[in-house]
Amino acid sequence: MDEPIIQTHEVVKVFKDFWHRPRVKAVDNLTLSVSRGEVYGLLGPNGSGKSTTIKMLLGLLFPTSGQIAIFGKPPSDVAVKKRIGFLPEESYLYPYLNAVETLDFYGRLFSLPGAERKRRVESLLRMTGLSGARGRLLREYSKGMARRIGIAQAMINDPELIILDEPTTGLDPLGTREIKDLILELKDKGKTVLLCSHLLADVEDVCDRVGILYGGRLQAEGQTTELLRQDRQTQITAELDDKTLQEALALIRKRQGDAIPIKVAPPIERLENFFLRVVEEARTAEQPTSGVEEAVSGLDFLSDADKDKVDVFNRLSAPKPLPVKVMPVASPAGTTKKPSGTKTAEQKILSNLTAPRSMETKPEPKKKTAGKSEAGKPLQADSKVLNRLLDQDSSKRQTDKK
Amino acid sequence: MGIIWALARNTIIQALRMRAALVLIVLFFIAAPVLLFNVGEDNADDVRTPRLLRIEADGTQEGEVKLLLTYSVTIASILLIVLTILLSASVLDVEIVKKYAFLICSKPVRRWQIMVGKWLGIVLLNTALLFIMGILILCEVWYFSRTDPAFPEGREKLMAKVLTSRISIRPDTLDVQKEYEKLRLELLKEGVKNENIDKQLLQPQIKNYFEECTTEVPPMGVQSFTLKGVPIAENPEETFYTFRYKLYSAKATDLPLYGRWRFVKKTEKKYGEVYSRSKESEIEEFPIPASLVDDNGEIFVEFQNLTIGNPDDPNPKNRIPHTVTFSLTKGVELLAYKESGLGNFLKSLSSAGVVRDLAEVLPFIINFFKALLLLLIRLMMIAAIGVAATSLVHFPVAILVLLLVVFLGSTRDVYANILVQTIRREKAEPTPEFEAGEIAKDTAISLYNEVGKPAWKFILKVITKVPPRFEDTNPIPDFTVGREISWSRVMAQVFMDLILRGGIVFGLGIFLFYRREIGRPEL
Repeated sequence: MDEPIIQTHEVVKVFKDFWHRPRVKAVDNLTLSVSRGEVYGLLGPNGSGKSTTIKMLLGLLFPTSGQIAIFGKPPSDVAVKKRIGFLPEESYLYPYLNAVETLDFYGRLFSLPGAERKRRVESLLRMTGLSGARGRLLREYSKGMARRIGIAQAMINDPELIILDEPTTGLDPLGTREIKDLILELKDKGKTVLLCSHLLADVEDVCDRVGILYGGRLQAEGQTTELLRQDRQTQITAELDDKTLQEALALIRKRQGDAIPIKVAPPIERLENFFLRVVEEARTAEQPTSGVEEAVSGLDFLSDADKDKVDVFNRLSAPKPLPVKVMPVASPAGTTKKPSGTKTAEQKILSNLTAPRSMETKPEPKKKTAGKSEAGKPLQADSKVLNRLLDQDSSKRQTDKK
Repeated sequence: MGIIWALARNTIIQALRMRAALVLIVLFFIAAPVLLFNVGEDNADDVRTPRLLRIEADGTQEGEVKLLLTYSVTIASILLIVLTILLSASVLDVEIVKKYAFLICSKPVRRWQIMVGKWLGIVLLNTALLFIMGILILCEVWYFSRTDPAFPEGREKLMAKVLTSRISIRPDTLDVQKEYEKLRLELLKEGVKNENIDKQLLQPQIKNYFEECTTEVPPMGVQSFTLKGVPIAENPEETFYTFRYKLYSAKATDLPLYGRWRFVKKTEKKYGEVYSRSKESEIEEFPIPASLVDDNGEIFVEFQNLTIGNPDDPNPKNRIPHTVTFSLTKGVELLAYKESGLGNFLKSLSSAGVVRDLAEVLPFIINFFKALLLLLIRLMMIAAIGVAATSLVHFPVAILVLLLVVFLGSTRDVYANILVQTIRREKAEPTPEFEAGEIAKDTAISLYNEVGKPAWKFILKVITKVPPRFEDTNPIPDFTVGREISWSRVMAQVFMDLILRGGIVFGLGIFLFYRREIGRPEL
């Protein structure tokens, strides 16, 4: 367990000029460890040293001092590179090749046999929704389409470690969602992902842990949920009639006092969700498009990086009664519910809230994983406040009965 | 190998899709037919060739084909050198500048594989283009070598002198070691210190020097030499070899030079004589029977200068005797046709038609492709140097490096002669005198003697030793006159240019590329 895939120890990178005079300290004393199966987000503003770190991890740049080990070996080791998939911040693909030639070329660099290469190329084209544009030269591709091919080439070798540098740059929300789903799928397969981005929403949705770089130094690091949790505030999301709402507010004021600031407003749907719904409806109506077609999720050639782990995971995640009040939220798996699953959970919570009588904690089957993750954090907050409210309500009712 | 092939294939696709190679082929297609346009006088008698496709050479069919071969191969060579310079100076640099290398270097690819893959791509492209151009040139040659009904003997001459492959035998007169000893003693007498005389440097210069030198034959004087290694013909009575020579007069003249050439078979005390009347500085030739070659493959040759002048001639110019000069290493040669096994086999298949024609020209075709191979060796070396250069510097600098290589490669002999003269003059220059107190002058002279002269000599030594000598890989003077390009010459160039020069520079490039950081910001 927790086998380190990426390890850096006090890595320093100083860029020197032509006369070998030190000019820029891009990375300063960076010590980092990413374990197998983890999705690690490396955050930071422009010029914070993210890309330099990635280049050192890939053996493109050499550290001025410190040590780097990938799979326990130096990054320049060819055997190490066979296990890595890399997407740079821009696609950097040959404009004079078409999609099939591009993927075939990178497949050849991994010495994949012809038949296997062909199978993977087809699978990746389906995954990226570019089967229809397979024969077009990449110079004719939009930025988003080139990005998709970039992602496909990073997957051609069924890598154990995937390094993604700004993977959603240039992608539409649909593409962004697909990338996030892909990252979660990779995680399901036990792959390790290093995600480098400054689009914080992307990182928040998929990363187990994040590290924040500034000035080449690691300023903060930890579990995403722990870093983001605001323990002093509570959010309730529910379909309530006015009477119930007033009752709930009265109850809160009674318990917490009038001075407590309470904000009541209808929730606003995330634009991303709204957009995805509109596109989905258009696709259902078979609206023709010259761009990216509907991507097929799932790559049939991806192997499980850690089969044992997946078995354990499946066993643990088998449906079984679980009280709502101890709903696991620290686990990243729990933060990534699919919308349908999320909705069911929310409905159950709501029914708990709105059912005025005889409230008992009901068993809630734990979901294995879920693609759409936006409900993760509210769920945590909801469960806490609900448990508290329910406890209070039942004790009140018991008092009333007496 | 799969990875190298993938990279090579990618380089070829890059060149083709970026249309560099396409432009080159179009240029060749434009340039080659333009050469055939008739720019001279219109020869009304020549009914064989359409007016727009007529070459003005010396009026003979062999002259036409020789000119055609010379120009087309020169154009092909120049265009391919330009393409190789552009491609080799860019393919690796583009990877780095456009950051494609981010992806390549993050894959399980060793850096030497990247460089070899790029080089191989350029070489394969060059090979394909050279082959296509070669086929086109052969088609043109075939078109111009058709029999002219008005002059059927023209084709016979063409087949015997140009569309053939003959071994060249030149007099083996130069003893480099002996000449070196002579020069060394001379230099020692002049005061040059023994340790300053570099044998390795001087011997090739002596060879070059003597190649340029000529022997003088006064009126009625005789110069003799032996031709060794002449092939012994299977049927000597019916086989004829070609003897070629080029004579000069000590005083320039447009009058004919007279001489007598005697070819002696020493073992049988038998000889043949030819009286020649030749124009100054023009190559002349005549056949000699193969029966004059002795069992050791040797012929003894004697030239007597008969340009003695005629005292009774009314033209006073013709009364003057002339001293004749010619180069013993470059001015005379015997061209001996050697039967090829494959050609004989083809001849045995059919005594007429295409097979017979093919059998006839097969030695020339083989020789022609050997000539292309020599050009390819040169291109391979340039590509190796170019790819190696871009492992350290960017495209514009790499282009300059390659242009310098091409320039020095083409002018190396000039520098070699300068060096020989510099060494000869070294002692002859008196130490300049200067007045006491003329510090500036003193310093300048000291600097010149102690720094300037040795530095200049060092630079000359480097120039005459390090860069390739393009003359060695230039096949045009040979195959256009039906002179065989030997395999030993091809292999020597493979070793010298490809393995030694190209290989060392390429190895250095790989070393530098391994140390180069990819994606480093420019500071």
